[in-house]
Amino acid sequence: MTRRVLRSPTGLAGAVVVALLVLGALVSLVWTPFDPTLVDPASTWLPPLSGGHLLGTDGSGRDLASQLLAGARVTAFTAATATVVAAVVGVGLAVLAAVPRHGGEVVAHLIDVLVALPTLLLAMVLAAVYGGSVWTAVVAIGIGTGVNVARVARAEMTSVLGADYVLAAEVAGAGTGRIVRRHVLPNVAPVLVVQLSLVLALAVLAEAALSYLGFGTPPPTPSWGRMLQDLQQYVTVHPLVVVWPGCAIAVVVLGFTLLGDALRDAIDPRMRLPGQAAPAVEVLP
Amino acid sequence: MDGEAAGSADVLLRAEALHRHYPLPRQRLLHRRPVRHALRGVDLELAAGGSVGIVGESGSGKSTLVRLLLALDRADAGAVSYRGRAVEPGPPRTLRWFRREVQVVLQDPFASLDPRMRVADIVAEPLECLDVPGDHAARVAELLGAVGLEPGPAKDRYPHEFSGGQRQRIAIARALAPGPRVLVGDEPLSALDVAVRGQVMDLLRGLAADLGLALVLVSHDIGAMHRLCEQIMVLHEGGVVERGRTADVLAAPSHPYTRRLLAAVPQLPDREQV
Repeated sequence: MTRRVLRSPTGLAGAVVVALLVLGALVSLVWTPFDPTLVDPASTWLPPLSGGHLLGTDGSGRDLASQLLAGARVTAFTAATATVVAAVVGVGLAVLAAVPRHGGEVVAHLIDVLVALPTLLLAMVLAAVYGGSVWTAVVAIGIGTGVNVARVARAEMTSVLGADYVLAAEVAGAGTGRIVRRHVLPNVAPVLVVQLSLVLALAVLAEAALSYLGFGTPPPTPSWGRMLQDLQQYVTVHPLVVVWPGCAIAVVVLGFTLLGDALRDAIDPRMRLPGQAAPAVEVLP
Repeated sequence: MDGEAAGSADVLLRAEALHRHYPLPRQRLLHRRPVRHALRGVDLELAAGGSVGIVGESGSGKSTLVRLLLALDRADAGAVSYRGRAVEPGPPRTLRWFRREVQVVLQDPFASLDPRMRVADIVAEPLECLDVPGDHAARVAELLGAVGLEPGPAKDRYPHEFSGGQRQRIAIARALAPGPRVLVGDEPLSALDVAVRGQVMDLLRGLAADLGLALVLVSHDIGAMHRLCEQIMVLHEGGVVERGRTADVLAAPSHPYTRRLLAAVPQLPDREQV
């Protein structure tokens, strides 16, 4: 499967972008051109490639390239952990809703209600109560996208549970736990992988939006969303500076989305047929 | 379980006056939900080593009967028992004894094998779930051999690497794994093409003879019935309209519905046998 993903141009592009993000985050742990939080009143608003600043500096004289590198850390961390939360929430709720027994219907309706709840709003409420932090963002994004995963996974699990091989397993003496572990989860795994790769993209976007709004990563931790917020008021005077974090966010989101698309194509050739809608995670409201 | 165990010794599977109905979706707001009577008072007796064929068109209640016989569904009225012991759907633990004795082969070999499991794991599943003692790997190899597959190359492959007939053989191996005395076949031949059907039929007949298996075979293939089943019962709209020895019923059907079923079988001008 990995080979098929990398052979498609979209998959390769997505993989390269994701690899760059991870690389940037790792490199920033040991080295950045300057201290990303170092304020230098002597060198504010330097243009790119001057005074050793690759992308220039902001209004406090902080190096933009270093901030971008260090911001990749938050982005990669949030995306990865939020996706883990989404996987746990999504699979957990989907199993509860899909396995036939008392209460499954209730969970299914609960999922539908939660899907209607905007993720960003949930994050803001959590941030208002518990204070804005990376973890608040992770939990909010994980739950918000997790319920979408749950809805898709539930539909998939319901169809797997109706398959003859589940009936055969029942006659073979398998209990519900074993049927879920050995038959249902392996057979919905491809769909889950695709859903979760799209959650990665949504998580990057949501983290940037939350930080931009001031509910995400608190200062002084560098974050792309907060860079945008810091810089936006000067956009008419120094239009170039907002381009860097803006592009970084857009490219990474695009990278995850392309990778998700390539994964979906690699897993299910039917999805490539024209005119057939592929399952997708709803875009954040 | 109850004191009935002394009943006629060689009857394995017995169903008495089975009723099952399903509520249908409401048609009109203030009216009652319509009801579909899938089974209305069906009896069945299967002797050790015997074989019963169940024929009937789609919707005649065959599948419902199979579900009840396998304790996958609860009857509204009537009872299923195995050697006098009541059989009721419930948690897998309470049904282990029954699952060791009664196994199933389903219709579609492309749907009844988990596409993401290796053949060895598929065949071993009942061994693990039913706590069958012994060396499972050796038993799997023995079973694959018994159904005419080479165990060496077959066991590490996935179902999609096999043809329909081979897959049905794998399904049969799985059903035989716990050493059952009753094999229920829910249209086990109808998804196979004609040439393969004959081979699988011969395999079933050979296995039944070698292992002393009792067969319950659901089918609309009258020819298969003739070759595999001593007894036959004809289901029509949830009730048994005719039953008896297969040869007698096929030679001289007494119920008009049976005659219609037989007339519907396509015939070649000169066939050696049914």
